[in-house]
Amino acid sequence: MILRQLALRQGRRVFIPSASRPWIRFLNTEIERTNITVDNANEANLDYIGSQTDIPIAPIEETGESLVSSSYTMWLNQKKQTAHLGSTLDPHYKPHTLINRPPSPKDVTLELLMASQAHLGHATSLWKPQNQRYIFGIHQGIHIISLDITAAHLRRAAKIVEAVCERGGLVLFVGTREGQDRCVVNAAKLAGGCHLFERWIPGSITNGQQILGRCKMKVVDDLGNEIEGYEEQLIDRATLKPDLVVCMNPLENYVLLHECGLNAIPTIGIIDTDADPTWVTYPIPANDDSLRCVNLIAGVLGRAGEEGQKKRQAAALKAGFTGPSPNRKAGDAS
Amino acid sequence: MSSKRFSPTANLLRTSRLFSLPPPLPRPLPELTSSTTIHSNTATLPFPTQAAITTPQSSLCRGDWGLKRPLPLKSTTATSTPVIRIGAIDTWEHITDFDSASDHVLTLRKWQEMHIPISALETRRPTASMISRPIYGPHRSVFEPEQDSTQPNPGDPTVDARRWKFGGPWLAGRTEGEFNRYLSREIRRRRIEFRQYIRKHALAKKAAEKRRMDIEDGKVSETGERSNASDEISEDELRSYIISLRNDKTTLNALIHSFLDLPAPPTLGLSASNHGFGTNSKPARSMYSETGPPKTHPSAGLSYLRTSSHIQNHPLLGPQASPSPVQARILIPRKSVLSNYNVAKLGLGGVVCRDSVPASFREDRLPNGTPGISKLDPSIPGGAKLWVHPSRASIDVEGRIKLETVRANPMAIAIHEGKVFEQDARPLSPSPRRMPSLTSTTSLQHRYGIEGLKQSNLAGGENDIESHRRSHKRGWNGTRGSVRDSELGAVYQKLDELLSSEGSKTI
Repeated sequence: MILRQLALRQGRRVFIPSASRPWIRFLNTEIERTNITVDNANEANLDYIGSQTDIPIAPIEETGESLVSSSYTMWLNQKKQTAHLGSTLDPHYKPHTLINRPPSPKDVTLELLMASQAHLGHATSLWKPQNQRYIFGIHQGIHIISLDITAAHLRRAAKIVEAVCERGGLVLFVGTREGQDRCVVNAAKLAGGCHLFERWIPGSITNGQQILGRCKMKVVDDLGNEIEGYEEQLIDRATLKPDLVVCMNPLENYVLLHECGLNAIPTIGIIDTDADPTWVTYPIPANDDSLRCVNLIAGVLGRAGEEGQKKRQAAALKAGFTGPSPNRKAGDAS
Repeated sequence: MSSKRFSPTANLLRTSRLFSLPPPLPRPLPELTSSTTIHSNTATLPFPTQAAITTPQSSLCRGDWGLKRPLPLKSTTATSTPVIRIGAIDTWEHITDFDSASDHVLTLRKWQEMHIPISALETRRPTASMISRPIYGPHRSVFEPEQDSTQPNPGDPTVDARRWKFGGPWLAGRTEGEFNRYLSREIRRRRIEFRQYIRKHALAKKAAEKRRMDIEDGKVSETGERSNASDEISEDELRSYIISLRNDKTTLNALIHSFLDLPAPPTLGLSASNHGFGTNSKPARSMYSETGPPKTHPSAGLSYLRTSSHIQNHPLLGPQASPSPVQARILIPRKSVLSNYNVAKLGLGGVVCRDSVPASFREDRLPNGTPGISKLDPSIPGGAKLWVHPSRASIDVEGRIKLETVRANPMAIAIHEGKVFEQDARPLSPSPRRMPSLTSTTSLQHRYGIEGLKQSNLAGGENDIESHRRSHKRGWNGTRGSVRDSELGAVYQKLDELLSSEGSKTI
């Protein structure tokens, strides 16, 4: 049946080149050989098809559908039908998913950390002895960071980020090394915070009025919508300071961490074996050179921040309280 | 060592790929000769000493090799063979020390493509001189059970002689300092163990002695049950046996050799008995006596094929007598500044080997000679090359690859280059293929397969002896396949008769 419909759909042009090849012989073994020429090929075929089916088939006028388009349609159809065939190699490592769909804190396993090269410390001669408690051993001339300690510290840091976001705090993600920009931006987007992937201008916290004084500030409600009417109150207000700083490369950002320390801003940082863990409040002992490891940690912390934001917004919607109104006295800049 | 003893982290780390990287082998030492040798620290080593690692394409373009830090894209992606070896994961300068491993990786790929089985080393040293080629016996694979032996096998001296792995060191290859260190560090602490070993040996000897006495006294028949009466030996007996051993150097040496599992020492010019080796109890001679046991398995993992007894099938022409030839680069022609030998040196599959045809005449001046073989010809684009068949490969005790080649069959070259049909001006349609009429066994040579086809085409289907002679003069193809000609001749004669009786000569 399908064959016949196909033959009809092809139109007259299809049968002309096949006149030399006995089409009818191809379809039926018992038919008598008729003298088919190029001129009467179509008629002969249609006669034959009409004789084989009960439903009378009217000869189709040439629709103008070319062989090319019909074979293209056939190819598309075939592709659609065979698309599900074959095997898939899943799950396997896809590097881009670490940025696009980062894992959440509950997905952090020792295997994932090891695959992300979180355990590789620096050469043994470069170590800071304060990191001794994070170091598992020495292999191939480098210190190996204990993965269970990394996992525990990463989960603790994720809880902190989540709690800060849940309370409406501002999280600043900092990664100023080459290649860390995407993961930092993505994490800040997820956590609803800020990001920094270029140089930290020294004094942005301690001397913020001079450096960031001209920057725009706005008042938002709990769902992140801007609330109008606070403009004159914001003029004399001090610049914003982050409530939590997450630093991917503490070695290059000593000034930032020092300023945070002076202003009692908690900090989270990836501490490799050559970094000083006392620079940050909550160290995550891991490999800060591997981009994959940094992507993973930034993604996990970003997911944690996203979770915190969701909780806060859910609570706000439940309570029916979506932020201060301009008529009330208290202003909340967030 | 059960894995339950370790923490989850330790288990994970122990099974990780990075930790599975073997430590690098010691670099091969330059040859200790008095002659001037050209040595380079950056030259490709004769064998790889470090594992080569690779990474998937998606990680490669991110520089992710599973190491401490991403590797620079410029040096790792601008190559067709992105494989590296790691010197150090991290260094004092905060860099990962890596190097391209494409040299050995490409060599291995070329060898896998050439399908060469590794032959066992010859027991007797082949006579190698500048002119005459070393003469080898038939191919014996290194994977044959009698070749691939690592366990002591006192029952079979021929197998034992081919043993390539020993527990103890090869003492003849040690310096005096190394030997003294071996004595003080390793031998000294095995004293008690050796005493137990001697006790066991004394017990066996005592039991044999007792059995002999019993047989002599007629208590036990020779085929009877072995008595296990004397399974005790007193300290006094043992002491007196040890004192007797000190005078019996033959037995003592054999005991020491089997206890320490030492490789056989080299044969000395003096008679063996002077050194305490009797005729029956001396350690077995080994094929590695002179050179020491090999550094690797005799195949070195280069090829796992046992034979090269396979026939290449051409899609149009059918089974071929000779495999596809491979192109070798002429590294040093016969006459050059570097050497004045009569044998050219070729580079094939990353290995230097000798040309199979030693000659002092100017081969490149012959009508069909190889250009650039006798003298350096700078006009050849890309350097002079030569088609050869790799014939025999083995790994010497130093781990170096020894490769022997023969000149390629001219017809095999023509088939490989696709020039057969060009010459005949008959593209893609060799039929009707005519069986060569086999009037004589000498003319049969190279008449089957493509040769026969070509000859029949050249001579218009007739047997033309002159054309045969021409083809013989053209190269070295006359040296191959002459053994089986008489048998094959009979077969073809029969076939020819059969076909002609049916009135059809086509196949």
